[in-house]
Amino acid sequence: MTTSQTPSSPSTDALVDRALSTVARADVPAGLADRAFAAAMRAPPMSTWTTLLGELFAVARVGAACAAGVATLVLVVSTAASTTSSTSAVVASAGHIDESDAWVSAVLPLSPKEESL
Amino acid sequence: MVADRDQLAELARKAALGDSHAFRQLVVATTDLVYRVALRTVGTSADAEDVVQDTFVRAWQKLSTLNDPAAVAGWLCRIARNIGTDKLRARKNRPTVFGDDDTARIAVERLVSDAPGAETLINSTETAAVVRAALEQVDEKFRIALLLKDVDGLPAATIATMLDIPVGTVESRASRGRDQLGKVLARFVKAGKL
Repeated sequence: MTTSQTPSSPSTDALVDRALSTVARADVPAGLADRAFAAAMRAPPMSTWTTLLGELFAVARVGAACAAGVATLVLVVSTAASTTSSTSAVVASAGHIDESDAWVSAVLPLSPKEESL
Repeated sequence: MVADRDQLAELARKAALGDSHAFRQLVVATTDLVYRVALRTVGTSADAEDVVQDTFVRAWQKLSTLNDPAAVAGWLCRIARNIGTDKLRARKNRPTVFGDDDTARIAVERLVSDAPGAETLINSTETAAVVRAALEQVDEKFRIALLLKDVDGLPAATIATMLDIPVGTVESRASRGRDQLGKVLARFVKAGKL
């Protein structure tokens, strides 16, 4: 309900005053503060829940970060292995392997054909 | 007991950190204000008591989210108004205006059917119920300002703190509340075919 503010007639003013005079003043019931405080203490503080949730989220974030790190590591190793294998084949077929290079023979597996040579 | 703004702010700061002793002091210091707002929102003392308890339960849970501890009184009153408004809305969804209150229901029926005069109306034993019915039809924000000012006799500055509005707005809301209440009462009287 929305009305414009208009001057009330004296009789309406009197009616309102008399109506308001029948409305009791607000007297706070005895012991209300104690009851309200007790009710609040029975409820768990939201900060506890917030803290708990925050910690759970933090753990979840760390877990997700670890999982992402492991996945990245696996991907890098896998890519590196794949690249190394390809390089071995290319280099071997080009005949540029220097067998005297110990690390090459150790790292790059030779094909059966190369082994027979 | 109503402490000053600085004291309330200090209590709010401590309570937000989980200091239950400070929270108790805060409850004691603000129950008066919160109860008045609750009562002027829901209209009955029983409902107002429930609102006050729910208000402090919610406050204890959410005090850490209060940005300005100095405004804790207004914050508490706002919580009370929100809870009270929800309660009032639920009450209005009941089939009758007054729910199970037979005295009030009979009062309205008599108002409409027996055509009592305005004098009789205001002086009748059912007056409180009729006035309450009229007040429920006044906009909440106007009604609260009107009752806190004209019935509880609180200073406009105190009401402004409670409702978190400027003092001038308190005056204008109270005035509009009077205007609306007058129109509702006049309609009640007219319904009685005076």
